[in-house]
Amino acid sequence: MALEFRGSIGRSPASSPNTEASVTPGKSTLVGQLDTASSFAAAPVARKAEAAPGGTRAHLGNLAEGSHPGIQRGGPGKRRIGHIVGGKFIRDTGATPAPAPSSPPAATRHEGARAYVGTPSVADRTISDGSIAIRLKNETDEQAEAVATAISMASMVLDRAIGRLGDPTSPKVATALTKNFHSTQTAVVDRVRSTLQSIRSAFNATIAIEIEGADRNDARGFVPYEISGDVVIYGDIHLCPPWFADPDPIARLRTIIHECSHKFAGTDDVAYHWEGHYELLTPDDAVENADSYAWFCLEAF
Amino acid sequence: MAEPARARLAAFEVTLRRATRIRWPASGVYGPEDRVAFDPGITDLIDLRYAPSRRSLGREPVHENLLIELAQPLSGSVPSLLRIHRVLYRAGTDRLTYQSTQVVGTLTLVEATPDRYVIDAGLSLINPEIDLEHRGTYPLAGRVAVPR
Repeated sequence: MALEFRGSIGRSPASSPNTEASVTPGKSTLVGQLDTASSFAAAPVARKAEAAPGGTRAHLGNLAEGSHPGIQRGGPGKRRIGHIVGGKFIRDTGATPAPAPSSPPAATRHEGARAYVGTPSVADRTISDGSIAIRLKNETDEQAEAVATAISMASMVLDRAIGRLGDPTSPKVATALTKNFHSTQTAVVDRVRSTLQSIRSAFNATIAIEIEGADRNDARGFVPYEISGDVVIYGDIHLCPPWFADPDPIARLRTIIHECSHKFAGTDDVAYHWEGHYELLTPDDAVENADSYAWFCLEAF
Repeated sequence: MAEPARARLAAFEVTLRRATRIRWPASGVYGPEDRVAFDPGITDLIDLRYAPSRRSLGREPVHENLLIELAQPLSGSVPSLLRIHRVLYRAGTDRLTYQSTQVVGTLTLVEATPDRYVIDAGLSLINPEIDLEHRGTYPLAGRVAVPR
């Protein structure tokens, strides 16, 4: 079964020459065919690429979670308790909440370019479509459904954006590059492609998502971050109440790409898209900026 | 949201964008997903920005952006009160949480040297169009150095 989604980015361009499309990213209609439902329905439980004991981990390179040979797979407390059918999360009969894992001591270890630090795995549910696995904490069924849908859509949008970069001179791609990275030079295109591929490759493993409570209202999402010596340490992606409250599926998938770019490509928040400074970013700054990737993916779609 | 402070504008990064004006949408107000656009203008725009890196905070940082469109070019001004034509203040993280285009207060040019202009600002943003965190009126004050 294919799930079609449509969304509107921004507002319609106004007719006034002073209010042309550049005021907004332009009215864009995003139409995609997702095989989310069937693929998730047929999925076995994700047993791949789950984090080693140490629920917070980090990397300095382009490795997705689980891609490092040193990662132990199948952490405690992760088992299939349901699946997605027709865009709905269905809890398996007899599934009960996973018992809380015992509390082994916090662990820190460094393996090559990656580091892992923290307390045991936070996952209490893993859902998978066989190609994308999502590990969740603190979620309701409705939230699990929303996350699964957004991540499937983000995966498809990333695939499309990477594909579109095969022809960076096409008007749509060149425009999206110019608006978000302020350059169409080969070096910039290569960097954008490489970063998007890093993000996309993370979707081949397990995406760990933690759901925040009502006290976290300042952002749609965030990735906790710390520096330990020379090692950058990223936590799981956290999604906050404003993300779930946003009725726009495009905005939700944009947040997924934004946060994944922090976690899997080490981007910064140099300027958000809504800032006047966004258009003044140099290409060097823009390729380090999370929102540049999120908006590029949608505008190149 | 960042706490308002009497002199917090002094922490903002300042850029003078000469002969530039804000491109105003026909609706009169930018929406939360809209990107601010600019056009050539006959006066100057002071771009004040507070944008800490997430690399120093460990989380999604709150950015603030105050754009002040002057009624006359700064280059022709002598120390005195400056007339403001329009303002646009936006703040938020990955989502815009506060926006105001109405301001009360004063902007005073106190010094003009070959390198810079020094401006004292005592402003309050009022009647926000977007105020997701119920901040209400928001004071922004401080002395800023505007590089020429």
